[in-house]
Amino acid sequence: LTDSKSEIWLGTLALMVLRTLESMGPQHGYGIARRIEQISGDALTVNYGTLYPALIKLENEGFIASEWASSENNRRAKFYRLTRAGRKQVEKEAREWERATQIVARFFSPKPAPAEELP
Amino acid sequence: VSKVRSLGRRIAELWRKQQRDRELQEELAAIAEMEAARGVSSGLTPAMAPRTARIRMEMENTKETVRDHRGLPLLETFLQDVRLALRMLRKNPGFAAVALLTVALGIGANTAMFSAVNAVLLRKLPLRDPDRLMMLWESNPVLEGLLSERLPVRMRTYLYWKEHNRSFDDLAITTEDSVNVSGGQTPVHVVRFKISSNFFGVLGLRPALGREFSHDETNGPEPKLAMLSYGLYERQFGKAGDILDRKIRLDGVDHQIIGVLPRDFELPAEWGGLDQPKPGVFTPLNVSPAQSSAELREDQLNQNIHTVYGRLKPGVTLAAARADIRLLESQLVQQFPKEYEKFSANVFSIYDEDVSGDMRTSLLALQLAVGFVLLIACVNVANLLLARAAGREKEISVRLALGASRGRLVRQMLSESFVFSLLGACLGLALAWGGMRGLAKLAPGDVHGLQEMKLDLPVLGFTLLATLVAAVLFGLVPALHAARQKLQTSLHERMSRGGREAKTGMSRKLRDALVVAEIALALAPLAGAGLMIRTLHALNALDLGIQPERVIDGTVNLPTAQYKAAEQRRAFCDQLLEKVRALPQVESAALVGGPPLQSIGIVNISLEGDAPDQNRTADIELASDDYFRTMGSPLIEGRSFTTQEAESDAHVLVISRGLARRLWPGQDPISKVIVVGQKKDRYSVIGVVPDTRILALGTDARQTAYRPSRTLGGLTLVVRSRTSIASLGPALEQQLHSLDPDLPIYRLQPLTDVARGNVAQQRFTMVLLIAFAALALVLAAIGLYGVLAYAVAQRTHEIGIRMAMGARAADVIGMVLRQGLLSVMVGVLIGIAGSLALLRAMKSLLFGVKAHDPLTFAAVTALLIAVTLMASYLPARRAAKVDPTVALRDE
Repeated sequence: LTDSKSEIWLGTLALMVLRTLESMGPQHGYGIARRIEQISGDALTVNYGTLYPALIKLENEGFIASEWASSENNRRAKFYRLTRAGRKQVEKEAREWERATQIVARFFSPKPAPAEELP
Repeated sequence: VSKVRSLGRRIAELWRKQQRDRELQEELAAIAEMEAARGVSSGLTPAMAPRTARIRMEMENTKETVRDHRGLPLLETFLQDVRLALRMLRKNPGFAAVALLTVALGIGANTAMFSAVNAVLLRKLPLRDPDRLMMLWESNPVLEGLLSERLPVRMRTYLYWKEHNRSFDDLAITTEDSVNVSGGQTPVHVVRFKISSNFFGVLGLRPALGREFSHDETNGPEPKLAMLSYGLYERQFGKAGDILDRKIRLDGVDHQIIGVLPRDFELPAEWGGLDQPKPGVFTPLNVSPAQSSAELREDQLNQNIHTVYGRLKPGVTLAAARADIRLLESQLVQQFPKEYEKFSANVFSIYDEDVSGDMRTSLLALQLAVGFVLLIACVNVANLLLARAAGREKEISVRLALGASRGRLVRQMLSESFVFSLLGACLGLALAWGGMRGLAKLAPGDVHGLQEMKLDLPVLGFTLLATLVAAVLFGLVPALHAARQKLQTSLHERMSRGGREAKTGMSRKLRDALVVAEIALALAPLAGAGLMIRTLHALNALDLGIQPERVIDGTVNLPTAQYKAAEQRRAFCDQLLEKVRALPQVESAALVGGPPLQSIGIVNISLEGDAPDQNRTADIELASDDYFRTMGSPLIEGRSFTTQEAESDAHVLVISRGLARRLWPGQDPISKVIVVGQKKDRYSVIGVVPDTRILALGTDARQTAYRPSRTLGGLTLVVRSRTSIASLGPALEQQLHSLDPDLPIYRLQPLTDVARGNVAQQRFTMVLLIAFAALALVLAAIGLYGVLAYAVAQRTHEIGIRMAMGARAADVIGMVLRQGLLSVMVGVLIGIAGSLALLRAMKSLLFGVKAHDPLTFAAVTALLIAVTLMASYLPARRAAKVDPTVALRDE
């Protein structure tokens, strides 16, 4: 991920984080990273230097909250969970995402005709 | 909402930074363990796994990124910069002292000056809606100077305006005189306003206690009622609770007190600040002239002693009101062609009445001059920062090499200059406070507001603005200069020490530009000060027509109640003169109708053989015998009044030379006849004295005719002392009280004070301009010295080579001086070009000198060259003492 794309990436990543927490329940950073990689079919590699700023931004905006708890291997880790505002945000983002993809999809569905007429 | 919440959290985090850092550490450590566990499960050895995990996580980079997203990085780096700046200042106390003092002087002087501008020009008068409050005057272009614009209004005019105007909600009329308040311990003299009942309504205020006059009380015979100013209520009655049941004795007559004005009541000044009425007591003015006798009625209608205040209707402009009133006046001219010949009318806003145009010009000129001082101070500090930046090149190169962005460097340098500026401004506020006290001391008495300067919110706002502007002005050039540094060259040069200084540090061009700017900026205040000095000189060289030294004058008002008959007033005048002349320290004494240099009484006159429509006026003054000797006005021709002529009010005149020349050019005025006033009394001229001048009213010579009299109601005693006048005041008061213990003598003052007071505004402008010009000159000299000293230090090696090649000390000194002089000449040329335009705006303040006075500009140029030579001498000497062996070994 280059610097110039990070802003866009950060927005999309935030959505992925919210969705992950919605479906999985409270998770620590490692868990979130693994889950995103898994869902993407290992097409994405989540970098902690990118993930953490997204987590902090979401926490500052009040969409997620964090607390210390014991992890699977009995170590203290920080768990992130979705807040009520976060839940609403997921719904809103999901609707917007759907609309945006539909619009973009319309530009791609009918294949440009002239290309086929070429010899 | 989420933005605001986010900002709140970020700010909150500033205070728990360390805790957050520890938590982050722990959180990431936990994740590193999980990553390591994953590593082991995918085949790494347990020893390798943690290290690989940390590398994979880019642990330090992640931490740094997180820190950047947390809190407020901009504010944090700013605070960091501030700490750095403070550390730099502590490390360089010499630099800190010079830089801070320079900024403090610039900002302090500006703050003090702005507090004056704020108090005089921007102040809000303590009256309701003062923007719509106007003063109305009659005017007559036949009269000279200020009088051509503003003449006290006749009752007839006021009544006509009031009835027919369409521009004002209401017009109020007043007339000012003075009364003696007796019955207390010592008699005091207060200014009285006789007012129409709507006076306070028009001004927009209500009495603090009691009531105002009713309509009936000012439309008929004047009842013996009085309203008091708060000051008089306090002084004379000790704020008595039963004040509304008390009486006050005015000129020996009891008046029932019906009201007290609020404490903060203050009338605006009149005549562009010349007259500041401070009434102590108000009584009713009858605005319905007597019906009983036609003659009495005419007399009252024609009394031209009134001041008229008006409140504009909403939406009416000043210009429209002026046109309206002038139209009404022209109707009066048609109805009364004789009485209103050549008359017109004027309307001025209360703000124009309060402060004269000249004072406005003067204050703005001073603010501009002091602004130039701040600019010079900024150039000096920029200079210091540049010189210091040269010493920091290595630091900056290293930071650039380590990846600091240029923007970040500029930001740091600007933060530093902001810290300097703010510290300097704090120091400057202390200086400003002292400066304001000095300003108040210097302030001419006739400017409203200068005694009420304070460091209030607008002034502090101005200071903050000046601080920010200064920070950018002196910080930007050094910051950009530092950031422009080329990484490799400077590192390379620093490491090899082989590069020549000419390439590093501040470039020669930049240095020269700074010097040129300083000189150009210093020129305008210097030239302004020079012009004011010449103006004052010309004013002082003006012949006032009198010798005011060792002369004291004081005014006495004889109340009409006790001194009704002319014989009583005659007897009083005779006895007073006799008693005063008997004092051993008195050389001569005389009486005169109004205070010398302060009063004017314009009367219609005519000459024998004048056509009936010929309009002539003269300033006529009543004076006793010995008046001219006492004032030191030597008779040019003829003789003075005899005692007998004064006692008998003889029909003779002593006239001033200007009047003689105007009436009878080229002829001998002695024995000529002047017909005075409406009674057509014939007076013959017996002597000629010099014209006098009232400088506050302009520089025109005042052409006066003196009539002998010893029967004066309002009189000014003029006494010339044999020795000093210090002990004379109490002695005069004693003599007066032995005649009548109830009479106060007021405005008892040396005549020199009056003469000097008349040029107080010009003196004020001059003294301040000199102070600011001196400040500008000193700062420019320091700046010049700094630049040249730095240049010499940088060229040590080159100078060493020159000397090794056989240059003599004189050559080296000449080289340095030439560099300084060249910059100065360029600066002077730019400065003169700029000043010529600026100084033209000062024209109205000047007298006897043109705004482009070549002598002033030559003197200023010479002064700047002299200062340059002095400032460059030390660096030049140092250059000449360079030892070539040392300079070259320094490699």
